[in-house]
Amino acid sequence: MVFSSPVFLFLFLPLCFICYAITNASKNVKANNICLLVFSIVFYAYGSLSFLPILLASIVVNYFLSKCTDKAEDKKTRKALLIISLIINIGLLFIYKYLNLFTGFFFGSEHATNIILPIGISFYTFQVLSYLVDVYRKDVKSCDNIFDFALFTMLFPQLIAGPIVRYSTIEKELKSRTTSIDSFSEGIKRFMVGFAKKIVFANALGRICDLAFNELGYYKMGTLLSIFVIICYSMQIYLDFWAYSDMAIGIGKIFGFTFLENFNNPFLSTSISEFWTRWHISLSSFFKDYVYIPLGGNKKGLLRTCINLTIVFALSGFWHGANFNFLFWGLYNALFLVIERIIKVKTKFRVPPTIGIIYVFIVWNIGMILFRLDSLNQVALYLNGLFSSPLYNYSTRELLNIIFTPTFAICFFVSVLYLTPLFDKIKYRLNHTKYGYIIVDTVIAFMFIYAVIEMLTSGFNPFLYFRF
Amino acid sequence: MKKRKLVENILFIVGFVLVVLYPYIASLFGIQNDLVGAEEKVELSFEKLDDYIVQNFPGRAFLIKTKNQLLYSLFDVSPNATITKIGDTLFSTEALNYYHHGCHEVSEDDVNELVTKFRWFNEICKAKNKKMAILLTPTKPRYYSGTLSFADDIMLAYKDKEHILPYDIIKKHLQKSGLKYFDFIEQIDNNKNKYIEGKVPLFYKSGHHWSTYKSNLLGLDLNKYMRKELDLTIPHISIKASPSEIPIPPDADLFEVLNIYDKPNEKFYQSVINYDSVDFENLNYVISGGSFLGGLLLPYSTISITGDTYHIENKNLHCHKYVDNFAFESYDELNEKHDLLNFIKKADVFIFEINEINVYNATFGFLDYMLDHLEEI
Repeated sequence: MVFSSPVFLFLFLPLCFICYAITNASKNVKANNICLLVFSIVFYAYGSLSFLPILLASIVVNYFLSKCTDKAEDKKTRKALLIISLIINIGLLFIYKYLNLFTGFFFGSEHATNIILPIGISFYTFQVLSYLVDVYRKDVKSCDNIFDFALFTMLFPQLIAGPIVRYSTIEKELKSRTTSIDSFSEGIKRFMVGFAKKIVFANALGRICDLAFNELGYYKMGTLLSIFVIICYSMQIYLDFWAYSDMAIGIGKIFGFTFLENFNNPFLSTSISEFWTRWHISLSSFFKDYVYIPLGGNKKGLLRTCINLTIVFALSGFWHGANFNFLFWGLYNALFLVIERIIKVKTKFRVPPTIGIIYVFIVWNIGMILFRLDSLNQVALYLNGLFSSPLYNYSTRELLNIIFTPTFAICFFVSVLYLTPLFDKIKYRLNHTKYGYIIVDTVIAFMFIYAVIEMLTSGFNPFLYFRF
Repeated sequence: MKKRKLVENILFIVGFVLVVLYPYIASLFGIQNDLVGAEEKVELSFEKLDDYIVQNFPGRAFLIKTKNQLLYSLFDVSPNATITKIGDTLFSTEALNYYHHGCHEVSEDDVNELVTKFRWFNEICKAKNKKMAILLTPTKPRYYSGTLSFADDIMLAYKDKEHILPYDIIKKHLQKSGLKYFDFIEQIDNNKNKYIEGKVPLFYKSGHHWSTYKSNLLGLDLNKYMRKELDLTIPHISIKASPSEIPIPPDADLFEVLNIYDKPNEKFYQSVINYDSVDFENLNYVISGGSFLGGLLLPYSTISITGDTYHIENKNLHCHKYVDNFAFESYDELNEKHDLLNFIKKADVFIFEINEINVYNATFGFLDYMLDHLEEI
């Protein structure tokens, strides 16, 4: 189930609110947790019912492994248990996410396995891994209730697309939390903003990208369209993912959970290394804390730092998708991080902020070509298309007609503004004036209502009854 | 301050709850509107539950009309992706694509094969003393070729100067084949003052099909052609234009599919038909063609000049003098349920309409079906 669907908004969410309000009246957090757990199971089962046993089995196994690790006094036993946990979790991820790719690579596509990827496995596996390592390191105590642990793993706002929540972040809230009108209202507002961002802006950009990449022929677009489309794709990815995080954080807040922010104006970064501290923060910090630092981080000399960065970003790239293009995308990012690191250590050269922002924007967008296309061959064709004249046909006409509509122009313009902190600044200022909050609330309400209408009506493009 | 915040929060929560409860409120108060146009029906299944819910969402029609009207009024654009608005004129996007950029490209070989099949079928008709007519019909953008969207302006700079439309290809092959055909595009071009000029437009700005009156007039030319070239005895008819308060279907069909609250801003006309003679042969017709035939045949179908008709339009059969309409999936099904082959056997006249957009899909496979069942017809 996705947040931007009518089933979620008009059926699942109201039912969940009603049930939660009933359990919340008992002032018993366990009842609240059970209620959320049941709804999280329904949330996951809807559309992924066949994968539910895998998730539930993973929860049970990881719960007992973490208990054993926590209880073990001997360091060797703890380490052995951690290794078993890592093998089980990474093994599951490997089988479900990467086995098709590797069997195809080594034995040919006709002998490749055809395993379907369980939704959300990349997120919940990393979430559980962070917990198991934290228990091993004694940073957190193991969860003493399997239902709480199940809720930590499955909590529906962040189950299928993050943010990757650490156990330490919500440990206290699993045991005791309060919901107030304030937090409820703030949560709803955050959800509404995310919903509008996704439906109105990300989807409008996505329509252009789908048309260009799926129908037009991405390698025949000519210079201007190729550049425009990849910028649209880059903004779509940002708004889509940011919107999902907004909705997850908002829903979490409604139920009294505080998830950490996942994005912090990444396009204001002046270097790629800074960019990765502002983009998908929960993933970046996971790799930093559980891969980069254990490898030695930047404490073992420049060469080792560069190797560590390359390993981390190769893994990060591969985490994004089971395709060698994602690996290359990770390595592409690592390349710039390594160059920036060398320049930083070896020279006193510092890039002016404006130039830095432009540099990041260009590097990121070029990287998006690797991210979007399926093979290096396609990437080469796309780059070739950048320097060729466009093929104007039926699809190009459709694409240009959409681009030049006032509605798309507005969506594009607002999306560009979303790359800056402008809206946050305006909101902050208005909220600190006497009646400014009314404007903020009205805009949020209007955007949400429009997004709901758009969700329900955008597919309605009837054709004529070509009848006698 | 605290009180203000509380009021703000409560208002916001109430607003959110109202939005979430909209489908239940819409059901309760019966908020509904009629929508025009064909939408692919989604069957109820677990995989397509979201799509099904969207399509059957209570109060959805009201939301659609309101949103469409807003977009139309605020931005002066078509809210429907299958319709393009350029200036004050609406076009079917498919027709525009065909005319400016030749979608559904048709090769010389494809057309040659089609015309060869027509020749075979014509030989069979001759042998069985039946008549066959092929009609070529136009599409709207041809007569608004100066009206281009901004995208077209850009694209024309790159368009292949020698780009040939499927119409040009089929016409060339028909001429070469010696088959008799009636070209309405040529007919209109040769009689511009009659068909293009005058108070009644050939195509209304708000419609996809040619206007009722002008297509009825063109039907008279078809009448002459059938009498002269096919040696058929059919009645003499005269037609006059008379103002109409409302558009006569399909004069404003595109505008209606926009699904907005506005009314089309054009002066519409209807046809007043007089039958000068009622002596005609009681012939059985098999007709294959699209909706452009409607206007041409209207004057005849209203007085039932035919013995009977089987008019096949894509996946629809109009039969028994246009009284019955049936949707079908295959010609075999049609034969099983409505005795198609038997009717073909007793038919006297075969009319095939090919709209220039549909050269790639001419006769919707019907000609192939008949050629595959020659022994039975």
